[in-house]
Amino acid sequence: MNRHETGSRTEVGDVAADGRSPACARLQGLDVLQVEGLAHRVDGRQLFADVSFRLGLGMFASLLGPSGCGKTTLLRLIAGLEPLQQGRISLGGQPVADAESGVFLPPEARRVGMVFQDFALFPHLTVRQNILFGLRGRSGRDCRARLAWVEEMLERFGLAHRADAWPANLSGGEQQRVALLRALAPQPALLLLDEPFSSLDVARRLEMREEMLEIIRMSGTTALMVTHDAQEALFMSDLVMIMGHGGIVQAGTPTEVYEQPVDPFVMSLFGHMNVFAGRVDAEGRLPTPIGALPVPPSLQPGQRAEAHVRASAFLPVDASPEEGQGALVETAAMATAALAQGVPPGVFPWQVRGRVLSAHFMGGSSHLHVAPEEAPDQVLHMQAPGRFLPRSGATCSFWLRRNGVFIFPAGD
Amino acid sequence: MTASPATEAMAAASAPAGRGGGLRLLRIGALVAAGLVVLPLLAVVVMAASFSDALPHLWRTVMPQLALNTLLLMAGVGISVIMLGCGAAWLVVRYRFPGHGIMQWALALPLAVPGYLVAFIYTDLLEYAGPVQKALRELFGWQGPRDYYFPEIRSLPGAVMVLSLTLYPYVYLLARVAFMAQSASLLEAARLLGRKPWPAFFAVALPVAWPAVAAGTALALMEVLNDFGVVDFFAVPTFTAGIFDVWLNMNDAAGAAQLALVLLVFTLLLILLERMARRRRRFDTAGPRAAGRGWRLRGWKAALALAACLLPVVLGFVLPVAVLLMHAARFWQESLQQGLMEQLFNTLLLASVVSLTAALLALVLAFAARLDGSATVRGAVRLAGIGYAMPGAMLAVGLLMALAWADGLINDAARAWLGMAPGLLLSGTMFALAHGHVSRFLALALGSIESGLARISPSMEAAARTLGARPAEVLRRVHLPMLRGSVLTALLIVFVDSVKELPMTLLLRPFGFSTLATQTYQFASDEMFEEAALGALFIVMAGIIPLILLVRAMNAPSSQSETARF
Repeated sequence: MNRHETGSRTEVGDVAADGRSPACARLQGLDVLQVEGLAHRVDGRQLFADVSFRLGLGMFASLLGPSGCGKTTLLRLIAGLEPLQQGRISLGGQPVADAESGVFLPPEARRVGMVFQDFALFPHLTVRQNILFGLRGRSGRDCRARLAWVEEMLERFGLAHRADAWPANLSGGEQQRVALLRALAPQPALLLLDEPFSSLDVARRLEMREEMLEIIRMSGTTALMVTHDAQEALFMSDLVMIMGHGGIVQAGTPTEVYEQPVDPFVMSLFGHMNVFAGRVDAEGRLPTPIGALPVPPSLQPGQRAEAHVRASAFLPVDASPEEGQGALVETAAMATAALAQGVPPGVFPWQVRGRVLSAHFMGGSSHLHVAPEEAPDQVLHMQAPGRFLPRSGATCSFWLRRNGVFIFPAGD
Repeated sequence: MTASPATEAMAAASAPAGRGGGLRLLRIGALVAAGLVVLPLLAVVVMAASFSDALPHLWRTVMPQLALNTLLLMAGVGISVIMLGCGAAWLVVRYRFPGHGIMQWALALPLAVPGYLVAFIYTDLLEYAGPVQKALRELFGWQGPRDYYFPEIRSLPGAVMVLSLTLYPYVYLLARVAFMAQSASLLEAARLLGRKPWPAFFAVALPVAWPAVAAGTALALMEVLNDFGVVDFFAVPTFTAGIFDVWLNMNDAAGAAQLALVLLVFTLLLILLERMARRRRRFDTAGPRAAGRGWRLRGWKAALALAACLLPVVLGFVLPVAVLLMHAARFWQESLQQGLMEQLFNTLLLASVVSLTAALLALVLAFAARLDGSATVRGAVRLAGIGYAMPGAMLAVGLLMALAWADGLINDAARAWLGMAPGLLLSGTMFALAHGHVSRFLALALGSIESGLARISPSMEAAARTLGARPAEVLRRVHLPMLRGSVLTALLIVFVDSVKELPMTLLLRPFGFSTLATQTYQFASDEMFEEAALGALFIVMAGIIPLILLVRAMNAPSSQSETARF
């Protein structure tokens, strides 16, 4: 169930369209990281199987998935911190671990840097000593160049005055910056990040994401990040790999995985979904309490299917909910009439009416629980933009965005 | 604005209560307890200061050699226990190999065997007339001592070896806890930054664990200063041996006091060094991913790891116990004839009295500290805890002098008021012996009870007070029941240490009173060690009890504080 993803030519167009790093567009022939057929068992349970992917130079990739899916284990296998059970890992074209031939390069020989979830700063060394730790044994000129780089980075990211402090006296954000600089100082070929923001509080996280990304881009290092936070993965990555069900479920650019999910699991990572099950009717539509939804051509009439609708797919018809405008439109005539009234682009030509059960203000959006008119015992989760807080019990109408609705064949 | 009764009571509960007869009693009790411990120390200082004429003589003749031997012994044992203890702890924490689970607690077994027993046993085995050399001579046809070279066990290196074998568990236990508390990602980060496994250990794992290692080494070195059996048997004159010699053989009280004073200075230096080593690095290395599982070893590497762990256990515990069992099996009747039952009774009686007294005093001290946070009480608690660091011989000398002086006072007063002299009431009695033991072991009871008390949160006290209980009632109804486990532990630990104790008991015991330890020493000195084997086995059995507690504590999830006081 995984896609063999190349970090290469097919990506170029999408990458440029997303406006991300131009470095990705200039792809070299040699991949920085190549993972083939990896599998891992823990305590008799198969954690994942047949995982393969490649990362090109300068790319920032994320492994996104729920806890326990094996993404951290995968990272540790690449770093050499766990013995490889099955498959092959190559860095810069050279195999560093191969289960069949028994090749296994220890972590210190792999030129891989890692930022740990708990930062793992050495408590008995100062900030500067921590960052310089990996530079032992370098030749004179090379060493001086790196020392200069370290001082420049300390200066640029506001750590120069903390360079002689002990890690325990630093704030979480400062510790993370030090951990990152320490990993980058020896110029590794690949940088691994294990849920780097989970120890920080929410406000810090947003700030640090930007800063981290900047530091990594500036150094031109290829990076692979493990996270369970979808927003983080979308914000930072050129390539998002969704991990679950024992393998990589989908890999693509952020736009691809969000707008073209291959299955409900992928969708579920990005927010709450409303699910409606049913059977495709003779006209190729799936009847649901929010309307008869057109199904993709691959689904046959009579087949069981599920509609997964994003909470953000609902758009309030207007801001005066008390008046309860509009009605569910089904016939073509009514659709034309509605269009004449001014239907916003990208929505289905009907409105969903429902009774508001509760409304919660979340800042940039409002989260509502609505009981649809067609099925009052069900509860729809809606996320409306901005402030939209109708009274409990009021009846409202909503447009339904086409790109928020995904129809999949139901399980067999 | 009137505060509700609840908030008033809460305020009263949290403020240090200065009034109340019960509290005053506790305070006095705490001061008395501290006084008991400090008395010998003061006596040593006072006595040594007042006899100034013997000092130059001692300095010229005896002191340099004693000092040198003591320093060499401490250096040798210090290095050995660090290597043995850290190495074993590292293997056991970071790797997995067959037998790994058993080795974790087995490595602490040598603690059960007192150093002097190991000394006797190995001398027995390895001396010229012993079985090993006899076998070698038979095997190779050597006739006499000039025909071959065999290292002399009765020497400074021999003493270093014997003491290291029995004392390395102090470092092992503390280092193990420290390594386990380190986040595994520290070492992984070091490896990903280019260090190979052993350089990574020395650059990261060891420095971060250093405070614990230093504490364990300090404990071991305090035991070295305290030891008499090994150094006497091996003819390695150290300060403690010197005190015995000067006091018992030369009848020189002043000289003994001065040696005791020098020993005190050594001990204080040791404590200072250990505090320094610990204070500079306070590392909070609690990571979300703690130790993790060790790296699995296979093949010859696993065998090597297992052998490395087995060696100290075999040499320090298995072999000595086997020898004891052998001798006991053959000579148990002789042991019984020599008064074993009486010695057993004496030992148990003394240990019971000492442990009960120590537990009671520790409770008084701990409660006083809890209810009254004043500097006086806190000072008293700190002082009371010093006794463990003080070498037994030094405490004995000080105590004897203090009690002799007290006896003199009593006699003078009695003569003045009653017209008669009651004689020696305090010196040379069970009271003196018990006092000495309590002075030394109070710290152990205190450690156990204090850590148990620390687990009772202040809000429990506050809750009880708001429900109407007065301070003394709170102690009785809330704290004491919850402290049952700690009190039991305290009793056991002090009991066992009292059973094993040798130097102080030799000096302080009343005439005709011998314990298992002193009798074993006596027999060994008279080359009749085999007949003491059964008694020695009892000592070892007693020594195993705290180890059982330890194993249970080790297997429980979060009990790091328990292992610190063994």
